[in-house]
Amino acid sequence: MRKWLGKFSPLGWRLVATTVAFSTIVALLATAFQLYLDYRRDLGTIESTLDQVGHSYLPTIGNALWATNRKELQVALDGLARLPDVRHVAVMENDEVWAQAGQAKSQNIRTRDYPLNHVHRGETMTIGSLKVVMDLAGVYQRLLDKFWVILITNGVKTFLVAGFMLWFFHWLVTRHLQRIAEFAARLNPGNLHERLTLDRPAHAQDQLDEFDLVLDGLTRMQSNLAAAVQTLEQDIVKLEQAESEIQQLNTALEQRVADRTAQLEAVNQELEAFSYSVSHDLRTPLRSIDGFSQALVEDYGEKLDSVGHDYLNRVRRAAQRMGQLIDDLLRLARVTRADMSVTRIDLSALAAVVTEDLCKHKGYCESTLTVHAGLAGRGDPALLRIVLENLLDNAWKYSSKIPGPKIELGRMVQDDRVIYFVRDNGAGFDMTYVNKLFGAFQRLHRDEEFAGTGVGLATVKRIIHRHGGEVWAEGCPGKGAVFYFTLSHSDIPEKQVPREAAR
Amino acid sequence: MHDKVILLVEDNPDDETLTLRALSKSKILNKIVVARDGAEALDYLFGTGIHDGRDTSFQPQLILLDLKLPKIDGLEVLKRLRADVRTALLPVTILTTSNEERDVITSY
Repeated sequence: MRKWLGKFSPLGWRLVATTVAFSTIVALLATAFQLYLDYRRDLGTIESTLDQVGHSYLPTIGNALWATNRKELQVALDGLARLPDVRHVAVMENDEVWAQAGQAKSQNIRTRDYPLNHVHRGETMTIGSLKVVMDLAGVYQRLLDKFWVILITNGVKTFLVAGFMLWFFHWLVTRHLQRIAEFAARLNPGNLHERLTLDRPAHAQDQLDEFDLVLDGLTRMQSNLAAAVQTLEQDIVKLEQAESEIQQLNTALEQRVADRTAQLEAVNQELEAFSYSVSHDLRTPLRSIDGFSQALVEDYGEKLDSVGHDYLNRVRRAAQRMGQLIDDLLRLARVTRADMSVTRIDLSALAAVVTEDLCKHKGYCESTLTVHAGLAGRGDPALLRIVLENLLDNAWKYSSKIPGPKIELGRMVQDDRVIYFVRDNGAGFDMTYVNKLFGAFQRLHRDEEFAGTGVGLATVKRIIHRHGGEVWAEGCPGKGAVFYFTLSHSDIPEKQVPREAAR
Repeated sequence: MHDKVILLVEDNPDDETLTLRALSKSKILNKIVVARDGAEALDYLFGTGIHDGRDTSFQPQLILLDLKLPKIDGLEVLKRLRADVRTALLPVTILTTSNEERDVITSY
């Protein structure tokens, strides 16, 4: 643990180091102040000694000098030199040493000169001077001694106090902190109900301290955590249940999808077989009807009158129409199940191909069609070709009986949707029957008016729905019709398609 | 005219009659052998079954082959006679009204 916490610096040591440093500074300041006071006192003592010399010795020495009593003068000076801290005394007369005691010194000294006066016949006259040199070394020595004593006692005291503090702080705080740390590190969802006790002397309820707060907080945190863990466990159980339910549902769903797919495939196969049988078997009797009617006309035509010929022609027309119906029905079925391959298509170019085809096979060749250039879209080319074939064929067919027919294939954008349209000015239709328009075998015109099987628009609707688009129509009898369709894959107008996406 | 036979494989008598009439109207006077199903056609071509002993070095000039036939259908007949050296190069015309693309593609 210590490693990832970085350098370990125990609280006790820091407390002691800080306290010792602070108390040492305070002790040094106090000592310095005390030493300063002592120094001042000692200096005061020296000054008072000097003052005393002035009072007590000056008259004696002055008289001795006046009387030139050398012996008495020497005795007085010797007495003076024995005073504490007095180093050297000398009596000077005109800068000449007349008598002296003690030894001269030039450093750490305090010197005072006294004039020696003598009153002669009421006149005071200066006869010399007394020089007293006080030695300060004693003062300094006493200061130094005192400094050492204070330093050592303080050091010892600080050392003892620091040791005691260290032990007491450990006993009172850090051992408990370590225990709390170990306990907290050991906590996990499995032992949340374990309680931490500290090895402390019993104390009354009204003498709680910070550790009681920590223990209380820890206990609360543990119970909160335990509650949270319990909630989480319940949630996990719920989640697991939900997950297994989803799993089961998924499995059931997959099974259902597989079943449905198999059923659909079976139905599809049946449909294929049915279509094949329709295309072959239903057509066979038709061929006989048509074939033998034709043979009758060709081989026995001269034996029939015009009514007989009319009947036979009706038989043939009916057979051919039946064949057409079968073809259209098959085409409708094929459109529903054909594979789609969606690519980018130029509808304008496709319309040109379809127009050419219609001209070749149906004789719709008058240049009445206007195709907007650059009609692009996305879809299956073969299926969209069927759409254009049916819509353009219808447009031509229903506008063939009016003078000046006009057909238009174009595109417009509405609500961010690309809408293609085929507009003609032909027979049109009554909007009342618009919902019948796209039903299979539903027709709004009699066959004599406009031939057709009623399958074309149903085919268009299926193809457009397979493309995820919509198809609808607007019309008015005698004023023409418009057929609209959308392709889901090209709903975003060209100019808004980003370059990369358009490729 | 022995070597100018046309083999018509057709199960429907109506279609057979119409085909024969169309051929005669087109002044095609070849001998026409009719097989009612695929098996009979193969018997004729390979000299087996009811046509046992037929000289198979003489083969029809043209085969008119319907696709939907009892027993063995037209596409199977086509496959088998293309697989045999004696008949591999015979011209075959498929008679069908099927619009199914797959029929057309398979026939090639």
